[in-house]
Amino acid sequence: MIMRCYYKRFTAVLIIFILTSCSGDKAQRDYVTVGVQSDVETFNPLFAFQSLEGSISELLFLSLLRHEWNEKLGKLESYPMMAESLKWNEDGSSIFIKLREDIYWSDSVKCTIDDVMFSLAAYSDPDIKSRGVGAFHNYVTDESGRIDAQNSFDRISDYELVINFKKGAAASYFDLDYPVIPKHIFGTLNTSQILSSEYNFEPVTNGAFKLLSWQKDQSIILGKNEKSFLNSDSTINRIIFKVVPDYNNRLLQLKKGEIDFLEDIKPEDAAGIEEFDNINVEKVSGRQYDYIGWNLIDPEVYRNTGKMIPNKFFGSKKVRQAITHALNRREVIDNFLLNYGELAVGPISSIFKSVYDTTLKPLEYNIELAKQLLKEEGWIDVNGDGIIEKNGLEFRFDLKIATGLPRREYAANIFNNNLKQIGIDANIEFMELNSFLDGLFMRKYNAWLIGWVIPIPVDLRIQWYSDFERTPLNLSSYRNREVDSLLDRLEMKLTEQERNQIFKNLNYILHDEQPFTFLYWVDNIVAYNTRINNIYINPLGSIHYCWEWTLK
Amino acid sequence: MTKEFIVKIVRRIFTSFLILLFIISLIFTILQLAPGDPSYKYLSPELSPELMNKVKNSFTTEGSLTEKYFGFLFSFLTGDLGISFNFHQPVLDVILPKLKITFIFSGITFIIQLLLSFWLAYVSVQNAGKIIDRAMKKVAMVFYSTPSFITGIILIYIFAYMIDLFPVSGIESIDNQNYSLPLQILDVAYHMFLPALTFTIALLPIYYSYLRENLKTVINSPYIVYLRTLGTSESRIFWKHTLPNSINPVIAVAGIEFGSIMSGSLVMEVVFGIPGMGRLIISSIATNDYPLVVGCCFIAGVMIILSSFIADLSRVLIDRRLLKGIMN
Repeated sequence: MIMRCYYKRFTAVLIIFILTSCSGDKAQRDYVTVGVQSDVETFNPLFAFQSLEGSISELLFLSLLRHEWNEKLGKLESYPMMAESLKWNEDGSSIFIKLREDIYWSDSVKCTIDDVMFSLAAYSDPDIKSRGVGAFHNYVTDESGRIDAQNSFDRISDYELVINFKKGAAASYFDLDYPVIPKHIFGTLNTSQILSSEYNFEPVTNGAFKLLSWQKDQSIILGKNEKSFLNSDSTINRIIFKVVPDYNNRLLQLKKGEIDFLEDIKPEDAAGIEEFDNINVEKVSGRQYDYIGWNLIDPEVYRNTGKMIPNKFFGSKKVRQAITHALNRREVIDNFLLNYGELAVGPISSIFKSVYDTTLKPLEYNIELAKQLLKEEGWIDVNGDGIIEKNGLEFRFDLKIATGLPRREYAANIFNNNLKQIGIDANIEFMELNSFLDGLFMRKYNAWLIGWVIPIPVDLRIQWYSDFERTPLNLSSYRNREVDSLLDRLEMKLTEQERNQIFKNLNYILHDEQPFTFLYWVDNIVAYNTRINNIYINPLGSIHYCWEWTLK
Repeated sequence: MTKEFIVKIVRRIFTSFLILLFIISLIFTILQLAPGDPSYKYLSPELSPELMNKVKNSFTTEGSLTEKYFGFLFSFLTGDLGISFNFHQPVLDVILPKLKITFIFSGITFIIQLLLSFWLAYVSVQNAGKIIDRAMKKVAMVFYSTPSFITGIILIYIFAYMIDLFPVSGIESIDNQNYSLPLQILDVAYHMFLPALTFTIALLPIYYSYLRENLKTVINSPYIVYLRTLGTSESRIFWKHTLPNSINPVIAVAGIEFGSIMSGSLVMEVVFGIPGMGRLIISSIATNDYPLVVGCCFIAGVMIILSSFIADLSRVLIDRRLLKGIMN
């Protein structure tokens, strides 16, 4: 009898608690919850290597400029943010910066031009190992790439500065595009202390938001910075980044309303989510593509002797074109991406309207044309075993793929069948990511399937410049003097029209030469709760400038 | 406590230490051979080869392999587990918060598993051959053969999504810090209900099956029957004879299991978003954070050895005759 009474009491308490807990979270929703797969490792923008770290540091720390994506023109536009005004001199060799005087750090110290100078120097310091190391080639630097502050900066007042760039450098706003960190905090530390400073986790900030709490691997809570000039009364009070490692769990929470904003939705789930009245689905196109990389040099000879001789399979442009013609890329877009993608013609996507050549069309899926091109190159099935050969060499190669991404595994199987149709035997080899990357950077493979995210502003040098030492991501070992010359010209001072034309030329050459088989651009599918207003999903990042979001 | 007992315990501690030394040496060797490079994340368009080399070298210590090994060993033995490449913090500072969560979660679940399985086994044996016994055996078999992440997903779907009774993931509410202490504890308990239930369901059948068989054997053994004929009370028979004799072999299994769950359960942690050891180990391996990998493996090794040691010690305390066999 007594036991039964206890049971009843316990059950009642439990039910009350559950009910209050359930309603509590949803009743006072003055915040937006963003679902993320993994946590950040730091809040210091110096070390923001991950995409999420970059996005959060943008909310915590201000930069001199802000960028906006102009959808119509398909290009980036820059406006002053921390800076009140920015003025280039006539030849573009120096810039005058006037800082806003109403910016404060979260510890109430005023933000001055000294913070800007200190930050730029810190980003360039190789001992600090920031994400900006090596990127300051337009500045006057010492041998190690560190900014020479004496020759680079003319400090006029607490809020005014002139930056003098290197002679002949084609400096742009992007040379200033770094979140500013507080000198009064980090300036007192030596370089090795900065890396492990507690301020990387409990930051002193000046952005639209400040860090309220960080429960590692659980949640990051940012609160509206009432003093920030970026915020208004309608700015949301809190943004919560909720760490949920399991994709299905994140999706469930989106449907349930526990998560308001989610990226990287799988295409097969998008249609189901669209049916929910309280969820909007949008996509960010043209930032990420998958490709099959062809090694244009013989990997074994290169590894053993360092000599670069053309690859026996993929050294010929016609062979590469033939293979692209043989691959049914549309099938992957239709059946796996469910049309959340677009055929790729080259390394620049159609969203970059000013630099994209609309006259270029993707190489069509045409098995007969592929066979014809291979035949012209001397690849014929002489012995009738179904595999084409040339000079006694059968066309068999390994296609390396890192494990863990179903889209690429699906595509590889389709392409394997496609290649069989033209007499090529591609042995698909799945590898653990680290082993895969090791071999890739050592140029060990003949062919591999991987993806690439195109940076904004567009940068092609890293993949296509001939100097392998200085462009370690030229994994195809691609060498083309014309491309080098065009890439070199991009480093010079040019008009916007000239610059755009160079990008179009580059896209044309790479489309024609097919050092990669550019497969398709993959959309990032984004879903958010309809209670969020004024949200603009764009290629710069989905939570870009979320201080402009409001709640219904 | 006899001299023999103390000698055997000291010997066991010494051999455990040697095993740990072997574990960390093995991990060191494997990491030297492992593919991957922590400096990959620094690759950028503008990074010159000279700078890249500088960054690369910053992740390794100079010297021959032997020098590196002894340097590593010395640091380890002096308690310096190094600095995590990713977190830029001492390895122990990164591990301890995760270990605490895993310890609390696994510890509570483990106790529930043991108590519940013993109770169920006892009920089963008391009703041997009846429908309740047969049903429990079948249910245990179903739970045993269902992967825990499937159980977890089903429970989440039913209780967190359809009925909307429990949260889908996490270990506390967003506003937990603003609650009073009792509410904070209740909030964590509320969040932990589904993971704990899943974890309990996953391991309960093992302990249940062991205990049921042991209990059955002990209860029907001649000395228990003899005690009954002597008129010894049922509670005395149970606490003094049935329980110690039937639980002893289970403690050995539980000792090893407890050590394993203390090093984290990746699948459970991912499904329920619990920030524990399992996720930390996997992310440290994936990102080539070598000091953290070594630290996590070391802690996992310590946990397994320690729990196995405590389990053996408990068995010896229950039955002194096991001293020679177990402690050797």
